[in-house]
Amino acid sequence: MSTSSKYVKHTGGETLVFHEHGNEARWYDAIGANARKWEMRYGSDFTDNIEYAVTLVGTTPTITQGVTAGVRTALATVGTSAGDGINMQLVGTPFQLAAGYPAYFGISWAFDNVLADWFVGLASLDDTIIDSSHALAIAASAIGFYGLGTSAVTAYSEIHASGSEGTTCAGTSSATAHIYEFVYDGVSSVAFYMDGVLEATHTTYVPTVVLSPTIVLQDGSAAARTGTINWMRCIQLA
Amino acid sequence: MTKSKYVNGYQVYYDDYDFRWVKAIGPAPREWEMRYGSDFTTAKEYTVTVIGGADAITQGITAGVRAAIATAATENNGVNVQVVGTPFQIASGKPFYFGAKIACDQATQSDILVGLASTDTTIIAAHAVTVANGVYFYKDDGATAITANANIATVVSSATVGTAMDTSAHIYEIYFDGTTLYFYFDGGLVTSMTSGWPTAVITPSIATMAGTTTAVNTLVHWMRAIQLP
Repeated sequence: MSTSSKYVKHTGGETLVFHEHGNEARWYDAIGANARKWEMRYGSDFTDNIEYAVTLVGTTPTITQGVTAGVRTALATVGTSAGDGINMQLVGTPFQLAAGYPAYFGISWAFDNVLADWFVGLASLDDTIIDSSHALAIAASAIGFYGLGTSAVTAYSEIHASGSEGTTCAGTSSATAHIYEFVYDGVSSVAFYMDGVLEATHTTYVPTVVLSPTIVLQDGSAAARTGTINWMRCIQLA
Repeated sequence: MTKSKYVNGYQVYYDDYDFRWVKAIGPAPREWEMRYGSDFTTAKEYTVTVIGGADAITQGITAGVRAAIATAATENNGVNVQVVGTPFQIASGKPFYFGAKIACDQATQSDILVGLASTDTTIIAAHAVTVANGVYFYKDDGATAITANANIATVVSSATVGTAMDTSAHIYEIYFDGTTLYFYFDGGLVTSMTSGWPTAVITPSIATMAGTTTAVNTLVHWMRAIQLP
């Protein structure tokens, strides 16, 4: 695995994007004056509403900096009731999928048991993206991947007032880390990748409102779950 | 378009203009950039001084915006924001870049300062810059003229930007090539100086204050400083 770079055109010009060699959909970085970049950092502040808006459900779920090599964040739902867990979003909504502004979202993360409810991606501010009945409950808009108590993974886009599109991925979750990514082409299309494999392309119900990087981990059954985030980043060209 | 060049042995990436530095790669570049998700709350990342009761700085909720600063609707109320620490110092042979893209909704009835300054919880007071040392752009209340300033112990070298302030986002940049200091507004050269800048340590700073009984709202799209040792 090595790194390559390319120029990506956008409404503000052309910006140098670094990506995985042989995989132009896995953006590592973009260098441009107006590039919008966010990456979960080591040493993040998970204190509520300073760096992340954190909603905890149940008996003292925890979010801590990783203590395992490479891990940025460790999540533990702790409680054992349905819906117990963590709904976490970057404070502020700096990203918006708009024509002329290509964007990338990616995360490498693992959870200890596929019997979990989870969502990763970008969403409008929402403290209940998944409810206690193990169902998506997005109030406004979201785009990303989710699983609800099984190993099935769905690539998903929703504008709540209009509708949603979900595609069941060929890839399935497991107790090992997987990479979930999507790339917005800056026109109208979003390509979803799981572990580097194209799983879906959506052109409908792609959110148009401002969005924030989001991760949700909740109990998918009557047992506590843990998760670890190896990396998580979002890049948009402007 | 992003390109790169070598400066002092560092690989410097720049965008559109060779002075508009975005990133430097090398053993010890001094780089700071306002990040999404910044901590404006605990005084660990920024020293935020609120002058007046209802002023605030928060993370941006508009696409691309990193910070939103709102003053109270009282004249001379405002917000004074500085990166904790003073990691930058203009010194011969140490090229330096500062840039910020900022929009303000009050072109006339506002005081705005953006640049680098010595630590000071009252950068602007009663429509006048009071900070001891700095290199910055400043717009005074009641006018739309923007000035580019270098300030040593309140002795100011100044030039007026050719374009008047409005409510659109503009890019304010300061570049030091190791011998000469340049000020740019939206990519156009405002002035250059071969002396008159402070030698004291300084920190990225932004201050906004209300010029009348209308609140001033300022959006920071990006703000960064890079220096090569």
